[in-house]
Formats: sequence, structure tokens, C-alpha cells
Amino acid sequence: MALLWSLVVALGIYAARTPGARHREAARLAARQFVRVLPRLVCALIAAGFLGKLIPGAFVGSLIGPESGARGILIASAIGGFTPGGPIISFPTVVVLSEAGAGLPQMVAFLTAWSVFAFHRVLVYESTLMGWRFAATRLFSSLALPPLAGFTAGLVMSIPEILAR
Amino acid sequence: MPGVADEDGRPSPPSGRDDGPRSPRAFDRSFWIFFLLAIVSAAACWAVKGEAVFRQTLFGDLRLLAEILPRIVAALCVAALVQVLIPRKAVAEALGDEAGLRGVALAAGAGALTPGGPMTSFPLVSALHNAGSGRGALIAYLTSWSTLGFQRILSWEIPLMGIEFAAIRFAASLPLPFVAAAISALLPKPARDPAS
Repeated sequence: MALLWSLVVALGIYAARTPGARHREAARLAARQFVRVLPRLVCALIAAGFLGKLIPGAFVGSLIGPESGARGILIASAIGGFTPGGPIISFPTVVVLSEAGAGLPQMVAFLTAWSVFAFHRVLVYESTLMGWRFAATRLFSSLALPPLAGFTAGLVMSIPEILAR
Repeated sequence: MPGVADEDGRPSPPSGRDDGPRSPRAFDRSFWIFFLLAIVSAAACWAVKGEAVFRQTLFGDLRLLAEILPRIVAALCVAALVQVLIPRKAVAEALGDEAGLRGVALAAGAGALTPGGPMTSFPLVSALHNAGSGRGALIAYLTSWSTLGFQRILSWEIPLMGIEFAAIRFAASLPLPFVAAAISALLPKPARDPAS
């Protein structure tokens, strides 16, 4: 966090020294975004906490737990691809799922699928600005990415074990 | 002036006019959906698990919120500063001429550094396309922006999931923009594809 705030200070000083004093514009942008995000974030986190207590952990664990392996990674990829909304929905969902016992590679697959498929984004931005043909090409090229990221995450996790041998 | 970072990804029409004062829309319909969800899940938790678990969960949530709020404020500031400091047009011009693997790698780097939501990235993709970037580079850019984007990692992933999770996911996602670009190169291109 200290790193993050030093970055803010450094960039802020730099922006203030450039002609046009763009730091004010940046402050306005940030404040506007904060006002927009805050009320929803508070509600989303509170909902995520309570939902996490209500979801049966055994069910989540057997479906996408650390022992669910490749099947769990594929299931998590499918769920992630159909999760609508921005990070304000997806990240609290990941918190809920991991507290309920989801495995790390499965969560990586979920987040990757949500990031690359995000169908609301395809509908509103990509299809209108780039055309359906481009969107279809990109989606098809991305089909394998969520499972790939999940499996790679599993490999990365096992590096310390391999090195310890 | 670059567009307002709509990191929420909420459907809002991509108008060409992305500057000018807009109302913050803090309490629009999507807020009330979240609000309702919080109330219903809280009530259900109280009913099913009892008051003790309800209290404990609520305090846990509030603690988490207090922990991540300063980080989110800082991340929003970084995103806004990067947004005003790096003009979209200059990036598009710098990337437009690069072709092949170099172009894909540069596009992936630019994608990871692009802050904000689809309101920032898609207009840039459009500009890159107009500046002559190839289809593979555009796909690499979007894949990188969505899976490696530094702003999302700083403002959401590290505060909520911890640095270890973020590091493992980042390492596992590094090859993704290149894989997507490589696969897209194998796909058929139409005779006059506007984005090829």
C-alpha cells in the first residue's frame, strides 16, 4: 500500500509540473469514479460475506475444490464465462467461493474466463466499436485461455514442491 | 481528454463524446440491485445461521472494507493520473507501425498498462485499428488488458485476494496474449476484414 501511495505522489507531482496542470483533471476523474464505485462496493462486499456463510462449503469443494482437478478447472471456466458485470461482482464472488473451499487453479480459471469473455462488454463495446466479426475471432481465439491459465497456475503452485525435492 | 474509467463494466452506451461533466450516477438501478442483494443475504444469514454468525460476518465485512478502501482510493488516483498523462492518440501512433511478434509484444505491454474499464480500452483499440495495427496485436492488447491489467490487480485483486494469489495468477496469465494472438493468426481472414 505504501508503494501504491508513493506512486500516486510521484505521478501527481509529475502531472502538476506538466503544462496545463493535469493533476486537477486527474483528481476530478478519480473522485468521480470513487463516488460511483463506493456505494456498490459496500453493498457487494456485505452481500458476499453473508452469501459465503450460506453456500454449502461441501458442495463448492466437490465442484471446484483443490481436489476437483481438470474437471473443476473446466467447470470454473464455464461459470466465469457466464458471470456478468464488472470487477465489483466478480471479485467478491471469488472471495465467497474461495472461502467456501474453491481451489486456487479453479479460481484463476474462473477469473480468466470472466475477464476475456465478459459478454456485457462484448455486447456494449466490442461489437459496436469493432464489429461482430472481430469479436467472434477474438472470442474463438480465447476459448482455451481460462483452462490454460488454470493449469499453469497449478504448475506455478507446485514449483516450490518440485524445488524442495 | 480520455474517457472516464468505467471499471465497473456496466453497460453504458459508448458515445464518441466521452468528456464533459457527467453525473456520478452513484445511486442508479444497479446500486439498488446490490443493495437489495445485501439486505436479502443478510436477512437469510440471520434466519438460517442465527444472530451470532450474522454479527460476526457483518464485522468481518466491515473490517475487510476498512482495509481495502485506502487501496482502492490510491488505485483510482493512479489510474486517473496515468489516464491524463498518457494521451491515447500518442500510444496508438507508437503502436500502429509495429508488426509481427514485436507488435504483439508491444500491444500486450500497452494492454497491461491501460488503466480503467472498457470505456478507456475499447476507444484505444479502435484508434489502434485505425492506426494500422494487425488483428493479432489488437487481440493481444485486449487479452492483456483484461487478464494482466495492472489497475485491476492493484485495486481489486491484491486487496481482496492477497498478493500471493495475484502473483500466481499473473504468472499463469503472462503467456495468454501471445497464445490468443497466435490462434487468431490461424483463423481465416475475410477478403476485406476491417480489423485484419
